[in-house]
Amino acid sequence: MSEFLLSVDCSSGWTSLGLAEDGRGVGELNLRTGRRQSELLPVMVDFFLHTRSLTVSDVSLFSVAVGPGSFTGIKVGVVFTQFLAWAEGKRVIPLSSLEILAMDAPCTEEMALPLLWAGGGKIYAALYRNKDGEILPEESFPEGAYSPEEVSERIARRRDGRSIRGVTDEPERIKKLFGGSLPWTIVRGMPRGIAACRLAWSRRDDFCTPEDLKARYFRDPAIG
Amino acid sequence: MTENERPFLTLGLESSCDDTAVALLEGPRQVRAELLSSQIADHAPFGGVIPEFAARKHLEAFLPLTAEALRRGGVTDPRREISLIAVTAGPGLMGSLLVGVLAAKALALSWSVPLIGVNHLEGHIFANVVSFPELVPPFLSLIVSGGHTEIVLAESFGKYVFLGGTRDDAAGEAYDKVAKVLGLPYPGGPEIDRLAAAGDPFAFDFPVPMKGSPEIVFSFSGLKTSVITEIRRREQRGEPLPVEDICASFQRAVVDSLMGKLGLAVKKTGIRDISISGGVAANSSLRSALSKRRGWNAWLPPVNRCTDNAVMIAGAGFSAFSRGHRSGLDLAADPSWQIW
Repeated sequence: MSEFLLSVDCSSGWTSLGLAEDGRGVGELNLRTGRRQSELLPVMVDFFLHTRSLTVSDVSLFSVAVGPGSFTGIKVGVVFTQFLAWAEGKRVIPLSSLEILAMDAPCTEEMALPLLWAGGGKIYAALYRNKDGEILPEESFPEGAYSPEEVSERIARRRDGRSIRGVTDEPERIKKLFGGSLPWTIVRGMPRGIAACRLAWSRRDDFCTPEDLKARYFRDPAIG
Repeated sequence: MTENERPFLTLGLESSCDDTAVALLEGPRQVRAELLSSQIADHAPFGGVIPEFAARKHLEAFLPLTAEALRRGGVTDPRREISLIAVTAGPGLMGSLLVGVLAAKALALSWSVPLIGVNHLEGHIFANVVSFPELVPPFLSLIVSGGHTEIVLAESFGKYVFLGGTRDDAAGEAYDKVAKVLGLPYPGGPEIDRLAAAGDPFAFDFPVPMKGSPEIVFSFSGLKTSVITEIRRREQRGEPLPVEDICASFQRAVVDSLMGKLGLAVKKTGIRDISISGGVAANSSLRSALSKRRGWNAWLPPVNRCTDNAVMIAGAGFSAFSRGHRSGLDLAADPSWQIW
C-alpha cells in the first residue's frame, strides 16, 4: 500500500500543495491566492486529492511550512494542517518556508539566498548550499528577519568565492528594497509544492505530533 | 443504538477576539462540554487586545481545547459522533477569526461533517436562547460588549432587524478606556463595576449619552471624554481622585443610556421580551436596573456566558442548521459581518 505525503505552504502570496507517493513527487498545485488563502486552501486540498481519487484519510504524513513569512499565511497553513493531521491521527513534518523557496534556485553551482518580504523594511532570508540536490543551511547566515543592509553585510563577509543567487516570489519589490545595483542576482522563484513534499520526505524522521507543531514567526506582532 | 437514535452533537468553536472557546452541545441546549482559554492576562500589559498577538494565542490554544472538549463530552469517535461543526465567521478580528474558521474547515473535511459559519452577534443572542427555552421570537435583543452596542429585533431565528447601535465607542470599550485613565487593570468593566459599588452614582453629573434623542442610538465617546476631562482637571489641581465615585457616576450614565434606549425600543415595537447579552450584560448595575423594571421580561445569560463562549456559537449553529443552512469549505471569515 502506497504511503502518501501531502505538503502545504501558505507562507507567501502562494498557496502550494504537493503530493509524494512513497517518496516520489507525483503532483503539485501552486496558486497565487494572495489574501484569499483561508477561503481557498481547504477547497484546493479537497480538489487536489479528489482529482487523484484520494481523500484526506489516504494521506499518511503531512508537512507544512511553519515560517517565516506572512503572519496570516503561516497561521492559515499551520492551523489547517495541524487540525487535519490531528483529526486523522497522523504526524506532521514542519518545514522552513525559506528552505522550500531555496529549492527553486535553479543552479546547483551557486549558493541559494531565498528572500521573503517581511514588511517594516525587513526581509526574511537565509543562505543555503545546494549540494547534489540537497539543501544545506549555511551557519554564517541563519534564518531571520534582516534589513537589506544586514543581508548585504553578511554576504560581503563571506570568503568562499561562490556566487550567490537570490530567489524570491517578489523580485521587483525586494530589489527596490535593496536599491542600487547588487553584486549578486535575484531571480523570480516560488515555493513549489513538489519541492516541499520532496524536502519533507527527506526529513520524514523529523516529524512531530500535531499538538507539538509550532509556527515560527521570527518577528513580534506590532504593538499599536 | 441505531444511526438515527444517535444524539445530535454540535462542536462549537469561537475565536472572534481574545477568548478561545470550544463547546460540545447535544441538541439545542444540553451542554456536554464547555471550555475557554482567556487571553486577558496576555493583553493586560498593553491595556487592550493586540490583534496579531491574539491570533497567535488562538493557534496555540485551539487544539488542546478541542481535544479536551471531546474527551469531557465523552466523544471517542468524532467521525461518527459529531453531527455538525459550528464556527464563528464574523464579525471580529480577522486574524483571530481565521484560526477558528480554518480549524473548523479541517475538521469538517477530515470527518466529512457539515460545517456552518455563525455570526458572532447571533451567537450572543443564542447565549440566552440556549439557557432559556421559553425565549422565543419576537423579542428585543441588546448586545452590549467591548465591541458592540446594538439593539436588534429578533422577528424569528435568523431574521433580525437592526433598531439602533452606537455611533462611536461600544459601551465596553468606554469602560476599558476610562479604566485605563484611572490606572485600573484591563479589562476595565469588572473593575469599574466592583469599585462603583462603593461609590456615589450622583457624585458627578456625567452626561447620559443621547438622552434627549428620539432615536435608538448610542454614543459613549462624549461620556468617556467627559470623565477623562474630570480626571485630568483634578490631577492638574492636585486634588485627590474619588475613584469609587467616578466609577459609580460613569456607570450610572452608561446604564441610564442603555435602559433609556431599551425603553424607547419597547415603546416603538410594543415588544416587552428582552434578551441582554455580551460582556456588559454581566454588569451588576445593569442587571439590577433590569430586575427593577416592571412590565419587561428580561433574559440575562449566566455570567460566564455573557462574554464570548462557544456554547452560544454551537446553539446558533444548531438552529441555523435546523433551518437548512450550510457552509462550504470556501467559508470566508468576515470581520464586518452583520446579522440584519
